[in-house]
Amino acid sequence: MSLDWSFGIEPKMHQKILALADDLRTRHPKQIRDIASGYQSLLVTFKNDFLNDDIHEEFRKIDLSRFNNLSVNTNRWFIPVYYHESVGQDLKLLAEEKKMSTEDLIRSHSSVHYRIYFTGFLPGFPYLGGLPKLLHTPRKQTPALSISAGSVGIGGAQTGIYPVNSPGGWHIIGKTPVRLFDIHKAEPVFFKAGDEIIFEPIDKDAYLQIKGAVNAGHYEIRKELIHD
Amino acid sequence: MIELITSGWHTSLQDNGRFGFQHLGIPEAGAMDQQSYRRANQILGNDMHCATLECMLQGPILKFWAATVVCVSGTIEKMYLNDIAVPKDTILTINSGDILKIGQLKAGVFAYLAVAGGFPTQEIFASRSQYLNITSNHKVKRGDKLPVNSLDLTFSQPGHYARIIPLPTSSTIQVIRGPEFDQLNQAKKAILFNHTHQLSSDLNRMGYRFEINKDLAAKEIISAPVIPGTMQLTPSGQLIALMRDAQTTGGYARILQLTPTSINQLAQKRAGSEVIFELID
Repeated sequence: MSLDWSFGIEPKMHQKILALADDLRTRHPKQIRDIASGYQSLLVTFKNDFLNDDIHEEFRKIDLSRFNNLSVNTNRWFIPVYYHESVGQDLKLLAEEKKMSTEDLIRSHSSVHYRIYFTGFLPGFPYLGGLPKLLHTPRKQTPALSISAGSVGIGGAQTGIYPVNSPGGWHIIGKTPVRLFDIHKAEPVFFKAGDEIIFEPIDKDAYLQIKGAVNAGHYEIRKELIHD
Repeated sequence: MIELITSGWHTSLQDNGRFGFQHLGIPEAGAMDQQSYRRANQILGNDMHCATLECMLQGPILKFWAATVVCVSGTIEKMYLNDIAVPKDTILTINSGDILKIGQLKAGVFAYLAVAGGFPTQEIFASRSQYLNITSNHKVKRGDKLPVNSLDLTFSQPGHYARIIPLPTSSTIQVIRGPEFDQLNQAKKAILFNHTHQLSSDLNRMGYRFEINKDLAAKEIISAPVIPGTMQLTPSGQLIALMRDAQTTGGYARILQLTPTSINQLAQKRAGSEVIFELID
């Protein structure tokens, strides 16, 4: 069952639909199989093809204003990024196109708190909101055949990190040594919708050092608790 | 153990799917035609979530290194066990050293080989369905050796045939309204339901694309969740039926949703097939 609103990309409203999803999951664990969220929608799948009337009735009456005085705890994740042409093949071209220095482009991209709206496209791929207008760039006409896991890119009004190797049409400006999707962990994705991401520029040495720690399994991503 | 002498066109291990991880961007995957998949398992007396070998268009040649029983279901007429034609939907007794050639499907797209007790490969997120980046491979290849259970001679006697409803083969596909259905005006709805739509040759486990219809179009939407069976309409007039391996979110208008049966039915249609959509409530 699809629940759709029309408020657009709006953090406060988005937080309410996440609260609604949690509420539904908690109250109907036997019926609900999964709830996926978008910017302004929830898609609820059920374990059984046939729903009882009570659930139909409840869904008809859903009112987001119930969640007006929401208090939420979310995480702010600090994601180290090595912004460099050796791992960000489109960094130079994109800066030229924007008539700015690569340093300014990096500063602009790493100056923002990005909100994680949902995960989609690939396992563990975060849809981030908040990319500065100046950096908005249409996707490439022809997607690159292979973008490596960890690549940080810009596509349209969005920025994101490729969690796994994939073809893709985004402009790649850097790479994080952090793993966004780890199938060997009980929780393969460390973040959740509603969290924030800040990109922190690092140099090559730091990149290699963190990468080594990640591979050895003892790197902890820095985070802050946000209480709102 | 079963060895793949040839791999076939696109052969993969599939079960009923990987559920409950859509919010992490992990697709459901699972057998494209769940009805034929269930039929093969049911005839053998397997549990309903046992992994099977899904064969697309051209099946593999298999060499068995252990005695077992198998059953093949789906849109296939016959296969060859040690060069002797054998029927589908039947329990086949296999001896060590036997060779089963599934070969080319004459009609339809998918056939399923179920083996006694299912393929005991590693379960990842509650499923054995192969999918890129979740399992180590997204399909099986020539030379692969698949584990099988040792044959338990007391395996439950089958006889559930009657309970399995045959898959509809008609060209009428039942659909329900999608979230963006009402973005279409009356004229476009009429085109959608009063005309046939032809499948293009762009068909895979992620989605089945239809030939572009210039009289149909819908604006892109802000990315929203999708599931197998969601039918998208692009701004250029292409209908896309998302299938089992579909991504979990999409930016095209979700105008229709296939019913559980219609996903199976559509999965078995080939390029060039014409279908009619029938709206049900």
